[in-house]
Amino acid sequence: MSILGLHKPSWLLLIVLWLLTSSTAFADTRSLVLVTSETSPALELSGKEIRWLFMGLPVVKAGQRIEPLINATTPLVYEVFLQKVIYMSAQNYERRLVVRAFRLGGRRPEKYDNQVTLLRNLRENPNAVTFMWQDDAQRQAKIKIVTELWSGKIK
Amino acid sequence: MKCRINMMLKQCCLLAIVTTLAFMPAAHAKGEWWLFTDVTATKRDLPPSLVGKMEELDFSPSVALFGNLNKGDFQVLFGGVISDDEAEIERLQLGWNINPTNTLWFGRFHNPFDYWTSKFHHGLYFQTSQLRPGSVEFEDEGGVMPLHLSGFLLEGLYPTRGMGGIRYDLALGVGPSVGNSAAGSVLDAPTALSLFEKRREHKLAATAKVAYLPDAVAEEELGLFISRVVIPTEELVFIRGDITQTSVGVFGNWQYERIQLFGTAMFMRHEQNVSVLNQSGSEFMRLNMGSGYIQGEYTLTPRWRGYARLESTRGAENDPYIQSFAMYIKKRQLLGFRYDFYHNQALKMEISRAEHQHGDDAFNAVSLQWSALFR
Repeated sequence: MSILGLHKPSWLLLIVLWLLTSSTAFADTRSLVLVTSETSPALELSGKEIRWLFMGLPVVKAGQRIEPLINATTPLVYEVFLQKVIYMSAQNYERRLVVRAFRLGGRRPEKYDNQVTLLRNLRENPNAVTFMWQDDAQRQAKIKIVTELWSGKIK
Repeated sequence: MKCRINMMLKQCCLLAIVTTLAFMPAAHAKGEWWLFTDVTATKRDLPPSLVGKMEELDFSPSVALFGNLNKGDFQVLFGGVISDDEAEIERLQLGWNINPTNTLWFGRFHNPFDYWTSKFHHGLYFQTSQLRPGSVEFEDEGGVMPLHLSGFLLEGLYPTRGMGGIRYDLALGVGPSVGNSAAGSVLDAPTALSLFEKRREHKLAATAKVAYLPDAVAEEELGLFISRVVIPTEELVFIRGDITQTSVGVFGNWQYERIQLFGTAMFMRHEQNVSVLNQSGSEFMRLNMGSGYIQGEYTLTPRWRGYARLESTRGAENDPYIQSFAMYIKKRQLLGFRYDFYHNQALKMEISRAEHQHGDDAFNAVSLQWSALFR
């Protein structure tokens, strides 16, 4: 059987090629940003400080200890943050936090799977920071973007 | 035994008082409790010289509870272990975060020397292997080093260039004394209240440790330590007075892709007055020894890991102090595999060849351990 003069193996190949190339066309370009409360003083954090912060290590700015809030409201935002900013798998990251608390005590960064609670705690604590998609952050009131953490295509 | 139970009750009361005072009015207090469980089955191929001194077939379950409570600038760490042959409060320490990089602890804590104890404490699930190295074995398991101290511990982490950091620990308190058990001499570690005892069974101990971490959020480190402890030896008839134990060592942990290597090498000096046979006097002896271990691990898959360890002690043959610890492991080679499954559970299969302080006959052992962390 032929379609438009092409034999079956040929048009099957064309469909496969189209699917392969079109998948990149569907890839979504998104930016992950670090956000804080609108009432927070101007905050500058280096890549090292952000990594220290979310690994539970102390980071102090203007005499105040910065408190990281882990955004796990969607698996994607959590996974992209760990892969692109912390450079660890979720399993490895959580194990490191647990081992650290076991060795030295102290509070582990709080993990939130409810966006309402996350945003409420972020707005109430001027020393708290979290991460979220840039378009999400721009839609939320009373928070501000500190810096862009990562930008790229998500397949 | 009654005395031990009394001491445990006192420590439990102390924990209850400290945590109640610290956290009762605390709406913002945060706390977490974790439970470690493990069961180990061991089959030993004992030579005739060790038959009757050790179990050929051993089955030992244990449970460890870990608590971490925080309120403001204060925190409490608690670690307790219950097994078939002991029930002990291992860590009970109250901490004050002087600033974000420095914490001052008071109570009973693990002596911060070495790599192993500072990293794994009593969390068998966290250590890849089943067994601890003999040189850093716990006091009641045949260890000769002071693993628990009671007093003050200052620790901190300072950032360096790049992602690195310098971690330090300074401990000052009281250490163990020598006691007796069915298996020979054993170190009696201090309790959280030993610092306040009228009868000074425990004497001064001090440790300083510093480590460089190339990436403070990773696990690689290279460090040095020095420790000095005065150990009362009333239970040893052939040693008069106290022993002063000084140890200096280097430790490190290196990782490259799937390979991990870590270990400790230490030099120890024992200064002691040894009784002279058939005479009333004693002879002052200053004896040196060295011990260390190195463990290599290879991650085969995310769930499977293979590992091997070499341990050795040299120069202990003529040391009366070391000679009194019959269960001290002076040499061991082991090989094992670890399989992680479900959620925070692991199976470890291990074969080993070990040599105790008493008896030159080495023996082989094969063991299987299930360990888990519930939190």
